[in-house]
Amino acid sequence: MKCQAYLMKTGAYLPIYIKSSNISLIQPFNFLLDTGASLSAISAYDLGSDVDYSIFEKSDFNAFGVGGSQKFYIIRSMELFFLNTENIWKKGCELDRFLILPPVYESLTNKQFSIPSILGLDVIGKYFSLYFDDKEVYLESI
Amino acid sequence: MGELAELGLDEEKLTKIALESLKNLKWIQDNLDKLREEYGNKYIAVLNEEIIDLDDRLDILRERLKYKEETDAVVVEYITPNKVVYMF
Repeated sequence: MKCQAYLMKTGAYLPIYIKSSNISLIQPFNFLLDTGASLSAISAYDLGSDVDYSIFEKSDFNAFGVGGSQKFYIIRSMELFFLNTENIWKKGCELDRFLILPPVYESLTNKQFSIPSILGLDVIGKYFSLYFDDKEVYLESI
Repeated sequence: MGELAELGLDEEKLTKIALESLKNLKWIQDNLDKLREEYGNKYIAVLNEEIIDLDDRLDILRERLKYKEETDAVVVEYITPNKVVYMF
């Protein structure tokens, strides 16, 4: 399977539909390809405010990033569906755990930043190879 | 037919949402400097590369969007008053 990512000023984005037994989402989300992230994560900003976080497990490890480290919520047993270059949705991989990036607020105004969901090295390099030049970015199944 | 259709999902609709939301996100990023001048510190909702609504509060904007039709591909973004670099 070959999937084209969409180049924007802040990076390359790929639409992904995620499915899990304890959360049903009605739409795909745009994931930023992030080869600097060990784990993929969906942004709490993308999930919206109607999500009941009590249904999710809290991580038994701290994740470290710019700004410090903290515990995350986890979605278990995720299936990730990718839109291929023929515009057909195909299951690209299954992940045992998927992090939820907590909301990030601007310190002065307390407004929530729109942090993108990220596709990290638990997918890129493991299930897909990354190809890119200055005009195009692709993921291709390994 | 793709694998989401086999799960009973409307693939055509999901594809349309995916491609349109990417287009809207790109439009925001391409026009961020102009948007910042006019809408800095606000949340904007963009559909078909146009601002369809805005508010100072994210929850209020999202609540209003629930009652509008065909808003699945809407991208809601916070326009920071100053330039911000995300580092992951």
